[in-house]
Amino acid sequence: MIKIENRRTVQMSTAICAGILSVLISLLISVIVLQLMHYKPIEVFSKVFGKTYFRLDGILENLLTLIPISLCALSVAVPAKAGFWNIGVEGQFYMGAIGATGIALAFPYLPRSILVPLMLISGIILSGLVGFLSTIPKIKWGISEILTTILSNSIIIFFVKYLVYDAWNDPKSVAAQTPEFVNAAKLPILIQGSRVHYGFILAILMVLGINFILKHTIFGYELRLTGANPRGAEYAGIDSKKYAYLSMVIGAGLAGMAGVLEVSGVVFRLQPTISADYGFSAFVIAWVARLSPIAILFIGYLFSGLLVSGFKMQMMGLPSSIVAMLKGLILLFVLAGELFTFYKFSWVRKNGKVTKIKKKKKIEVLNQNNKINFKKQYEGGE
Amino acid sequence: MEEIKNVLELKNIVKTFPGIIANDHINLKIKKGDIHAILGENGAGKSTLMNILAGLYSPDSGSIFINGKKVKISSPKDSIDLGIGMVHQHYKLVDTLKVAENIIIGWAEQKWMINSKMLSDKIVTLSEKYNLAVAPNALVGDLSVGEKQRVEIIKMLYRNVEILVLDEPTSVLAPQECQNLFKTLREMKQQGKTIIFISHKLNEVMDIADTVTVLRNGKIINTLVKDDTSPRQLARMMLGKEMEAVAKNTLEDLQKAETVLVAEDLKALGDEGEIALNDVSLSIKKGEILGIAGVSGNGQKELAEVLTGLRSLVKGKIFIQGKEVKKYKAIEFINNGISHIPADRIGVGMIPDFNCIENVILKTYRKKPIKKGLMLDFKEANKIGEQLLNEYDVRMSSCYMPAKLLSGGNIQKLILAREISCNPQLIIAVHPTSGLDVSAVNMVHKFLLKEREKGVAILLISEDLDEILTLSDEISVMFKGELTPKQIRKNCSIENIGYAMMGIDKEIKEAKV
Repeated sequence: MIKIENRRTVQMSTAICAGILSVLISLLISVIVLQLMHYKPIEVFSKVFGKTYFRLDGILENLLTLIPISLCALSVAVPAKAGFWNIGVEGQFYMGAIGATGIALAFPYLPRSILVPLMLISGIILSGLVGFLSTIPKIKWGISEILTTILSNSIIIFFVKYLVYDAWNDPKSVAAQTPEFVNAAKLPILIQGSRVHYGFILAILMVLGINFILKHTIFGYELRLTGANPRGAEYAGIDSKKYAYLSMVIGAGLAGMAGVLEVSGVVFRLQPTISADYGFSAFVIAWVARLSPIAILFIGYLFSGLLVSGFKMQMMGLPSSIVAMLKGLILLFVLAGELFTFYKFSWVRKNGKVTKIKKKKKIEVLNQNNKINFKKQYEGGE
Repeated sequence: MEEIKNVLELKNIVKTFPGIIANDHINLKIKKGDIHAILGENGAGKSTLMNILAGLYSPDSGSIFINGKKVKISSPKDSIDLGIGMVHQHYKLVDTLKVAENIIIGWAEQKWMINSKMLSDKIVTLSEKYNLAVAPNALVGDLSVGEKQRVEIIKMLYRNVEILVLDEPTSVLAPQECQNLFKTLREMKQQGKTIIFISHKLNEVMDIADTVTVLRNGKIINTLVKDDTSPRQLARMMLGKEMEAVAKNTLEDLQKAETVLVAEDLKALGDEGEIALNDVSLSIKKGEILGIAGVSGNGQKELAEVLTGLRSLVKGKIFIQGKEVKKYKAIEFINNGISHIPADRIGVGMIPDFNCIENVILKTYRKKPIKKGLMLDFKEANKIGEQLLNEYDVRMSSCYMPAKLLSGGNIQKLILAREISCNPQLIIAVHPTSGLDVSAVNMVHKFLLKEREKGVAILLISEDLDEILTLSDEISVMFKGELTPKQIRKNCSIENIGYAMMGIDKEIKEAKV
């Protein structure tokens, strides 16, 4: 019988070991799968991962993907710090894109210095509104925010489809998309020779800013308090409703910002496929990073690499389904690794005469250990 | 031959929890076919003892004999296999399943398939035999509390238990339902089953039990045959000796003092929507300790929450230093100098995952040295926090360790440090020492008395009569959401308070100040 125990405190080293180990195991399994399907695993991996993680153009491509990824992960993390689940990142991302596109199409004659900020403001306000609306049912009637945010995704994605097929459709193209933005609505390139645009600076500023706000301001302290123990927060005189709304609006606004940057920095028009499931990946990244903004930056970078490698593998001729499967494998193992960092698994034998004695001994040992742990914990105290 | 008659025997059972001994060398013999009551105040160790029988806790030492044979109970399953069934105070039922499905959880005659016809027939037979009306196909979530209890009892009968343990079975029942329950218990006794009945209500014990064992502070005081004892004798044994009072204020002192808080006709609902406070009025003066005694669950928690803005009022008014409170929000009460030491230390009184510093500034961060504009000055917070934690002798390996790793006593000292650092007018302390070891109890008392010296009013809500009698200047008793008029400490004896707590007589109401 497998016995599962909760580790009371998690050591940094355990977490890192579990992380590395799970990635290695997932790679090993991927190798076996590729071998069985007669692709050359070593070649595929060395080419793909070597290019994305160790060559300049690959790294720059990763940084480009990191922009929406990090903002979307923040958009999960901020509400989660306040104790709320934002599963509507994908929808909020598109809402931001809609807001930006609307302005870009309506005022093509404005100069860049006015047009781009206007696009940002409009996208952030619209997506923030989505966050606000998704929180009302939770506060008024206790309907889970998980439901309302998930459902908001579908509504917004269908709305995008309506816009690109009908209202804002580009008459010159057969594809489902809006006309291309004027140059004034496009973000300038930050690093010449790559696609990395000025949005990168904005994303880094957001990560650092949110980190600072959470750690050093009254607002951040109260927000974390509400998330860590809502009853305790109420006891300390904090208005938890305020933080429900604010954290959701900020989170949704960040996802919206990612949407704005994506249309004005990379795609230059609204399409129903501008997000490579950023909103959903963001969820995984935020939690693997334990909701820490700085960790989101690093985990997000590794994850961007995974996304970019996926495209590269497809270019090498691997079917997209295999690529998706490999990505899934790696994610699955990283998440399973999480389980091992928080819980301890031990094998306990069941029944049988011989093992019974062992079991007894084991229990004695366990008791002994418990006593020692117990002493360690409480001697510090009493 | 007498050995065999004891269906259950406990020898030298010891169980300790961090800082307290819950069961101290318990020796108990229970006769077959007896209704054996275990009587004691909350925290006397009754539930711990029964959880040992049910396999939920394992004792540190001691042995258990069933029908004269030594047994080891290391899991609830062992306990069921030995024929012991426990009905917990908080029922262990699944609301979304049917009655019949609940009954076979964990122990079914048919291992793989459920023959619902056979099952409901059996349930109906059992329920008719023991006068326990339940519908096998009803959803448990739709049942009343009394019906849920019947389901729990049938669940045990279905498992063919020989020893039925009932933990405070009447605490949630209406008097009519109690009588029905007693009828069932008598019927079960007729059938030769043994019943262990845990209670702190004297009159019920006198009504149903054959034998009574009194527990106090984890020790067995005595085991008596019911017919040889009286409620007064049992109450004496339950409550223990009277302690010397440290209260100094006389009636004149109190009449002279300024009033800090007045509450008029407070009415509030409990978590389940029941009326928890019924027209409660009280007033408390500067430098006074007002003790509110009572068995918990009689509205004390709700009273404390209402007086700190955590629960909304249905009716009534609260005045702090003559000014009526308009907004019933926690922040309003905090700003008016009301500190709160909550009953639920870990769930409400602190943020378990935050470090000790972040916990100790939980209420003072809104004020100057720590607050710097929109920012929190953590350097200042660390300085102030560290000083406070040292002053209140909170023992920890580091100020930056998560507060959840502190022991109970140290958690309470941290909470006290924080609440007192707010410079309060009034401290509302709810069960401030429950579950703490002696040295921590003394510390808490010392800090509270020191505040009283400074002129802070203290509302002490506690189940521990000794504590109430030792510290309070005036005493009131809470019973079923109502508060008896307060009396000066000198006029109170442990007996008349004890009776008011158990609702067995109303003398205290007549003996007004």
